[in-house]
Amino acid sequence: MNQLINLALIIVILSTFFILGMKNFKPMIKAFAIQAIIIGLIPLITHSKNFSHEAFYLSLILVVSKGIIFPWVLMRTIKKSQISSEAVLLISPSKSIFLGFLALVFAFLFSSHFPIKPPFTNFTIAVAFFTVLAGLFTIMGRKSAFNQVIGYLVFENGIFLLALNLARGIPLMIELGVLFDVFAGLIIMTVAIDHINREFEHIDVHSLNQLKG
Amino acid sequence: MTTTILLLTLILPLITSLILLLFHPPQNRALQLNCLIHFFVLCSSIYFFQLVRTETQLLFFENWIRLDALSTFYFLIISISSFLIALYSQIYFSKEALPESSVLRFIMLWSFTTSMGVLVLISNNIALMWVALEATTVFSAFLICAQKSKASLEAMWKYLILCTIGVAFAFIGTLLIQVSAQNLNVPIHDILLWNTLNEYAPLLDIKFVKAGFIFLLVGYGTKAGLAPMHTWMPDVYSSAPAPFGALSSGVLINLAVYALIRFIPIAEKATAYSGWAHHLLLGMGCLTLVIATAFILFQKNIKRLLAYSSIEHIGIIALAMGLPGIGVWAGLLHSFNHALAKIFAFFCAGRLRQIYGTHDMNNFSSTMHICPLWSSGLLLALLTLIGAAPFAIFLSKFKILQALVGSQTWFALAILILASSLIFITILKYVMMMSWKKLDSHLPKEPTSFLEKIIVASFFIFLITLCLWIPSALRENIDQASQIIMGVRL
Repeated sequence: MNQLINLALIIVILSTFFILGMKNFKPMIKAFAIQAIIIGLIPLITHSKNFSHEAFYLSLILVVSKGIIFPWVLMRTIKKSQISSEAVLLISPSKSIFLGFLALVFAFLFSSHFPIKPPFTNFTIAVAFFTVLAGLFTIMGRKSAFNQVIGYLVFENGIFLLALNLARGIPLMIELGVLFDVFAGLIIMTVAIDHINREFEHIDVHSLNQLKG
Repeated sequence: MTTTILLLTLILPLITSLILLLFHPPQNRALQLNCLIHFFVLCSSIYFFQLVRTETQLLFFENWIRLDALSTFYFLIISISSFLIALYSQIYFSKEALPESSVLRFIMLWSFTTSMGVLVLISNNIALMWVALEATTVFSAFLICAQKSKASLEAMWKYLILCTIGVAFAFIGTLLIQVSAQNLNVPIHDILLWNTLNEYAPLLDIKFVKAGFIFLLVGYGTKAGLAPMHTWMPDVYSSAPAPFGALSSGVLINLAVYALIRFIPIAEKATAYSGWAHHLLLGMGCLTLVIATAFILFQKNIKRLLAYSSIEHIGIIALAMGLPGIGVWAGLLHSFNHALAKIFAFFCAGRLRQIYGTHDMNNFSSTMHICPLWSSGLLLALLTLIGAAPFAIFLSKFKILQALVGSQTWFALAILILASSLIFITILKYVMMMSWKKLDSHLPKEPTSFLEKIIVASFFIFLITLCLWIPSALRENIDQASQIIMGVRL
């Protein structure tokens, strides 16, 4: 079972690096979908021996919402708002990946301070922190508002992984509440992008600098 | 009975938004319905306020919902603010040329935010509190661009990104607090409950409590407007409609402050009353105060000025929370006074903007002749905000100064006095200029309705009375709430 979790986490790391290094939105969204599905399956993997309905429903809801609905909303926004699918980078892909490695090393060093409880290991906490950092980096290192949305979702994935690791007894209600917030956030952000795109004819957040002082 | 009222307070606003979404009533009807709902929330807050006077705490739904003196105090603040804003919105939106669908959307999202705001205050589960607070952020974002323009869209985007990410940090903080409680001998499902954490706080793992509190401070601090995470506030306030500015400073900011100060007793007990959390807040408060003062000195835009003034007052509240004893008491009173004064300032600024068509204070002149009612209101609101006597904020500020002298924190005292006097002079200069400077162009005198007069008069009564006399019920409530924050009372 541990090997299965480790395999899942390695896929999460790879997909995060893929998002960091990508210039094009569509593969980025696909990478996000894979990441979300893998993270969504983790509750099911950890409960594979003692099957619980709660874990099953949580996995099901996560996979369907984050793995299918979220990417679909993102793709639809690209099509509907006719956003150019190239991300404008502030930092080149190779540098992003290098910074990603630094973040990974930092996450490993940081995670050694946490108390661990089986089936999770320090590795899982490190991956969670790495995903959080990568999400923040995606929000800050890119120019497009659309990229910030993807960054926000990756960040939220990291937090969710962290919650799975650390939280002993976060009830299903709360997990669903968090998911509801993220979903509402995503919808509001995509609607906002649509409005911004129509009003400004671009979604470059660095040009949103009218308000000062 | 009590449970029913509680449930109705949560559900009725949601039903209102549903009605607005499905039936598209005319604008006037929607605004009246909005008033009615917020009046109900106000009544319910008074009911619980009275109930908690005799009982220390009320627990519902397997301890997920809990009311005590601190929550009812903030419940009272947000319900009074919301009701007054609902009344004012009737005037504001009738004079504003907005498409009806925009107004309906505004009220719909607002009702939803109210329901979630109440949930923040009554949840005992700290994760549920986070969920509700994040929901208020997400759903209030569209209130900013009721009037769609480049500036309001830009402001909305900044608000969305900064506040959602900021508040997400608070979730990491919540998780860390939960990790600190892992070795406690309590049932798994009770571990996230505030009263459990508060009860077992001395046994928590100090390292994680400290890390968690810092994350919470950054997270909820972003929404509250503590520097250096305050940058969204001036942009948002200056480009959003006036009712949103009022809603944010009367309701949303107070929710974030409430969420943050809930964790003070836990952090303090875990660190054996070393004053660690208090010192952190004191430091943040001073920093915020310095930054806000620096920006107030060079403001031209009235709403930006009000935004920086909000940041200043949040700084003062944080500073007061850093002073156990009379300081915390005064900090709570300051939250109440600031909420009232600031929503009133936004009411006046909003109406004057409608008359003059600008936010630039250099173009507001001889407001006293054009619109004496709202102009004298703005005068009162700004005088209150800078702490002039005999208006409400004077009292709480005076108590805070007293606490600073009492605890001999000279550095913070110097900063508070210097900042307050600089702001006093600057804002007084603007007020004089706006009220009495000769007008270049000719504007007709603005007629005012009966409702407007009632609103202004009630604020005059509120703001002056609260300086001279605090009702004993309120005083007792603040006493109990400050005891909760200092960890003396469970």
